[in-house]
Amino acid sequence: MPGNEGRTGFLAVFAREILHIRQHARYPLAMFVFPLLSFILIWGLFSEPYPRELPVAVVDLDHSKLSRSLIRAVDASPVIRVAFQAADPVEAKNLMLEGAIYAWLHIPKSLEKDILEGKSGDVTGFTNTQMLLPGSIVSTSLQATVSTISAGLNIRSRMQGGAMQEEAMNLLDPVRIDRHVLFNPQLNYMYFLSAALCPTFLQIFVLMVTVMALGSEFKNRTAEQWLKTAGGSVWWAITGKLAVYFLCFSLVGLIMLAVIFPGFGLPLRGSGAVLMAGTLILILAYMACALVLVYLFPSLRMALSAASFFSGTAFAFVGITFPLEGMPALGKAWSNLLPLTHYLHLFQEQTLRQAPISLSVPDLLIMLGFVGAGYCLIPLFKRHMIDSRYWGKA
Amino acid sequence: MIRHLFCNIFAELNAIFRDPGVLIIMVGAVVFYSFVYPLPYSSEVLKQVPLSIVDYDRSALSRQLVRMTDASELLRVVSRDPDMEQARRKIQSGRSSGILVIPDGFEKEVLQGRKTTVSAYVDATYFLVYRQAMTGLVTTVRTLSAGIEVSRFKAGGWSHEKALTDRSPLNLISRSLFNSHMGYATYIVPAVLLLLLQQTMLIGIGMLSGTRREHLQEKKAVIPLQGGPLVRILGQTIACMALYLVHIYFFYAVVYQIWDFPLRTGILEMFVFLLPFLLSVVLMGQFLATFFKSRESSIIMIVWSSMIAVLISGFSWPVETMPHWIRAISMLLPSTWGISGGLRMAQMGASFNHVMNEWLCMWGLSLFYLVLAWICTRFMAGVSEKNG
Repeated sequence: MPGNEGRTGFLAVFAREILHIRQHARYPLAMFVFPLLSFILIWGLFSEPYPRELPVAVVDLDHSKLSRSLIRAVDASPVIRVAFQAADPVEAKNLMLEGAIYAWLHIPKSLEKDILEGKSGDVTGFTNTQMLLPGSIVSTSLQATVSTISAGLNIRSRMQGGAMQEEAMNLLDPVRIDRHVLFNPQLNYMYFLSAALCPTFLQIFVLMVTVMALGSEFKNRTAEQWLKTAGGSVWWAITGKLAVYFLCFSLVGLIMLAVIFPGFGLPLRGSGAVLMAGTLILILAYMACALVLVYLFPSLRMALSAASFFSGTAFAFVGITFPLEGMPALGKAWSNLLPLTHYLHLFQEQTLRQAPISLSVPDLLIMLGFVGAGYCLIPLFKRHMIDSRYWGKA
Repeated sequence: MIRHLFCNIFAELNAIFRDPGVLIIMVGAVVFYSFVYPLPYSSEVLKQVPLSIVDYDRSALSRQLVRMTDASELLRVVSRDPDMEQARRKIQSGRSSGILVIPDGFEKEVLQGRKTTVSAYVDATYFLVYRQAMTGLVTTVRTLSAGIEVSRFKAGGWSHEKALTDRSPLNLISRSLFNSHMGYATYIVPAVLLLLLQQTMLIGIGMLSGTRREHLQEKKAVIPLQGGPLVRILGQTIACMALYLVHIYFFYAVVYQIWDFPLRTGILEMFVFLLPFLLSVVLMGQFLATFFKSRESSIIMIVWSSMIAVLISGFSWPVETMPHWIRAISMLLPSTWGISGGLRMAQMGASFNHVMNEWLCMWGLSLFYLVLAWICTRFMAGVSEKNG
């Protein structure tokens, strides 16, 4: 920056940081290229929001009209594709162990005969629940198909006579249950899950890049010169530096929101402004966490390891894959220490749940608490900047 | 040649065990994560989902239904609300996940032998919460209903069994194989453990190479590597694989025991299966390491890629549903094959024949990354000789 040599203060630090970023390719990569690639990848991965054509096998020991129509009905379901006709259960199990199928449907001998004689017939669905998600989707679909076929048989057998009197049939199911689905009528979990992955990627980059930017000053023994550029003020030094990253990440955060809402099919039922504010505060909160980590771990490598733990495992703890209420106390406590948990809470309230803004205010305040706590540490950094004992730690 | 190889293995092991930063990743992180990662899922199955009750009937029968709901292991009644609006607000604020509404006249209808309907409203934001709460509610109401049904049939002198057969002549029996209680930890953790091997190895190798480069630049003492590129690559490969074979033993013998995961094959079989997995990971690491200038650069990239590797490996989202370009990327990652075959062997008891495809693919990847690593190491050696 020509003409800037003599200047000190916030803007000088800001300019110095931009120069630093331009000299090191890893910053633009980690701030723009990787996050945007992640959004594209998530979008691509979940562009088909519901699994289709999952392969299953059938073991048909009956070879009847009924068994064939059952197989056709199973194959007709959009979720399932009957990929194999296995001769016996052993062959079907081998297919499953080879990873070729998620489930097989076993149709026993004399199924049709039993049913025509007015007895009940059972078919069995063997599902691979080690693959929990596809397994349960296939299982639900099999259940629905068999019920539909069964209901059709019911009408036919009644017409053929020999059925119970209407009066008796009316005694069945005295209490029924009406199912109502709240907030997610299509029962599509993918659009929320995929949308939630985007801020999860964002927080990884905010935390890691900020730790890298702060920590490398100590590792490369440039901390004193950094403080000098700030005119001796630790506040200008740190805020000037972080301002650059905050602006870059805010841009990425807003791009993220712009991608999620048209691209992922997630409804924005609440307030877009609250969501935007929340996203910016999330970025500030993770910068605050970076300050804490760099303060606690003077060695850059340790700070980065801690940051990778804090951000890399976050998705397991935020309660999206497995809900918070099912976690042990330690898991719950850790979850609450992650700004991402509170952000996703707000995210969910403002998207699917259509909650009033007032419900999201506590989430915003908690995230601001992280910001406040982190920035309180700023004065303590002065000692690190002038004391060479804190420098050069790889 | 052999002497050079042994020198390189020694130099590499020395570099790993003398460097606390590398040790933290390649040993510390492996142990630490294998205990922390299962933590959120340690209860395996979600139970006791909080529920609100809106009881407009306030009768003996409605109270019985509420008691039965609370007694279900999947559900827990946390509040009774006077109307839907208040119950709905509780869901929005996250204090409950569902509402059971019992209509006015519920008991009267049942006593008069008519049909009646209760309503379940369940928050479907989270898949597991919805599934557990709905299953719990449906089962509870069916139990109550079946009890009333049986006594009615008895009173009328009809055959209950015949009526049930007539209503639904064809039934599906669902059998869960391999993870029969549908545990979440059993689903996620075995896959993540294998990924952990891959990612820590990549970071570790990135750090080792970065350190070597930094130290050479700063003219610090390093044990010089001997021989040509192939012998150099082989030295690092054998050293890292030896360390990680210990981790594999630790996972299957210790971690599986502690978290009570089923292991349906022998540890020896797992060693044989995972050998090309480790090999391809080490070689991939050596190839990638040539791109990292400092010892820290690798960490960001690899934390990022670990999330991606989980998403595209096929156990969290079925490969059949992935777009082809993503499937193509995933095929270049050892974790995709290691997880796919490793889960089937360890969790499902598949024999070696069943995972032959994955095993061969990992040998193929090993060859692929060996060639890339060899080219890059030669190229880098050429550059540093010119500079030196």
